[in-house]
Amino acid sequence: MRSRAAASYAGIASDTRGGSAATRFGRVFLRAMVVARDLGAFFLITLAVVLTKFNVASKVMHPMMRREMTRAGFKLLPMAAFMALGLGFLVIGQSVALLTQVGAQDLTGTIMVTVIIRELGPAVTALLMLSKIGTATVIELGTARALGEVEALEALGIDPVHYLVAPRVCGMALSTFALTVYSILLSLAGGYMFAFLQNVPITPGVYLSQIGNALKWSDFILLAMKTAVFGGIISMTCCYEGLARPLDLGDVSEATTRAVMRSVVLCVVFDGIFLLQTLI
Amino acid sequence: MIGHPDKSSAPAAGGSAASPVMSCRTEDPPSVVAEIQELCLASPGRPGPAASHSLSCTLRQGDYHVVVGGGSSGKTRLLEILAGLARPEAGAVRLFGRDTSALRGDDWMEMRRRVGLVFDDGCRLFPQMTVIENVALPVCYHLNQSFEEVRSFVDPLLDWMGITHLRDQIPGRIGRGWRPRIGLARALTTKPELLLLDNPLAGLDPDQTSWWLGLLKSLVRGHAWYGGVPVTVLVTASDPAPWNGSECLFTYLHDVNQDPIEPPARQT
Repeated sequence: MRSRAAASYAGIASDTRGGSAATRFGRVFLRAMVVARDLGAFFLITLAVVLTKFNVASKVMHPMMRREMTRAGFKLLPMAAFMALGLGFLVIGQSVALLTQVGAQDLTGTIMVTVIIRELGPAVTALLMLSKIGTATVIELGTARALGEVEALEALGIDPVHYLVAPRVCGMALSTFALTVYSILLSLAGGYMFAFLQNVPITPGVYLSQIGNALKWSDFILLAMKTAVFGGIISMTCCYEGLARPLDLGDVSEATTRAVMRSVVLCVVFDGIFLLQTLI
Repeated sequence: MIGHPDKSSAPAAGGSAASPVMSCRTEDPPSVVAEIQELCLASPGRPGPAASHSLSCTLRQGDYHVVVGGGSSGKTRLLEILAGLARPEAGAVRLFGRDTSALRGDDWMEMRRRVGLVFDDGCRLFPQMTVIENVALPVCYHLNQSFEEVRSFVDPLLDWMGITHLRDQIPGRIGRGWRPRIGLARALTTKPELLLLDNPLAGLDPDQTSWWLGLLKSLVRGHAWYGGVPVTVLVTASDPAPWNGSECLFTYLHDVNQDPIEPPARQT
């Protein structure tokens, strides 16, 4: 049960009227803390359910998980491929002209690793996942909540977090990782295609060796962590906004925009933390 | 609101003193399914007339209760509390001998398998699933079986409910009169010992009403689906008239905003 102090903080945080700039900042900060606490609690509950009930009702849950992975991964592949090829074209297109002017074409691979593998690949894939699957998730869960389907599941002795949240979180997290890898590979291929079309004197072997030399083992670890964190943030935030609080049908659109905003903010914050980690 | 079980049910109405329900009571005291003590039926944030009164009653195996009341008398709230979907503001509920306030998480999930709830107004069916998937979901989930594997178990239930012809349709395309039957079928798949129904006769034609009354009576007496074991049934209604003549106990929840609902005339 929520403590009296926590309820008081939540009340203060939700009141944004009046006061000095410092007071308003304090309220916003407090509200952010309340949201972070609730999201953290939801994350821990979901993690516990995923770990303890992974094989419970597996003949019902595992097909659902596969369906989520198909929806969030396989069906998103054409869009992800389109964006990845475009990204590769843009990055190489902008950088090759500059590198040629200063005679530093050897840095093409390094730029691709720095820009695509470390930063833009995971970020763009996460944005794609959020815009296509995350918003659909909030709408689905919010509508289910508003129409009383969650209570219906509970009345049947079915844990809503297990039935509704766990497959979506697992599906989205795994799909984010898989799509990011595909996107990066296609971006690198798209980059080389552009360089080839622009008659940049670089062979595939040289291009790949440049990328290989620029890559470190820590990049693979960072990529895995980033995609897992981005996928986790998006899936958790969207499920939380759709499911964790009582909604009317009219609240679903607001919950969707809130989920998008909070997912973007959290992804940027964690991206910053990863960047600091690599700089240190 | 007054919580008074009104034993207006008369054996002569549809059965006799020799009916299974009555004989069960006289020969061997049936086990207590639910004990409700001083239960407040007010919803949080919605202070209503029910807030100032409390309900006390005991449900035994094979009991057939009809709770009658107006729109905001707390009927649905009572069912939600018994099904563990809401916590009471005051009072205590014991289900199958266990204090529900002490139940947490998975304990409640286990308890809910012994309590079936059929919701009001569309029965909260899952709109993206077909009828057979809606009905089979609880048994698939709890027994860890695929939909194909439980088909032979669910088909007789659909047949019993008279909804076999709707099995592959989605709920949105089904007439409102059929939806409560699907909700009932879904609730019965786990063979709950306590069956709660929220206003199941609302908006039904006389044929459908007659079907429902006959089915509930057969459940209370002990249907073959349950191996002949009597089920405890608690139904809510805004109009007691259709139940007049059933072997049921009436409980009236009076809403001070409305005129009291009169008990039906006693059958002779």
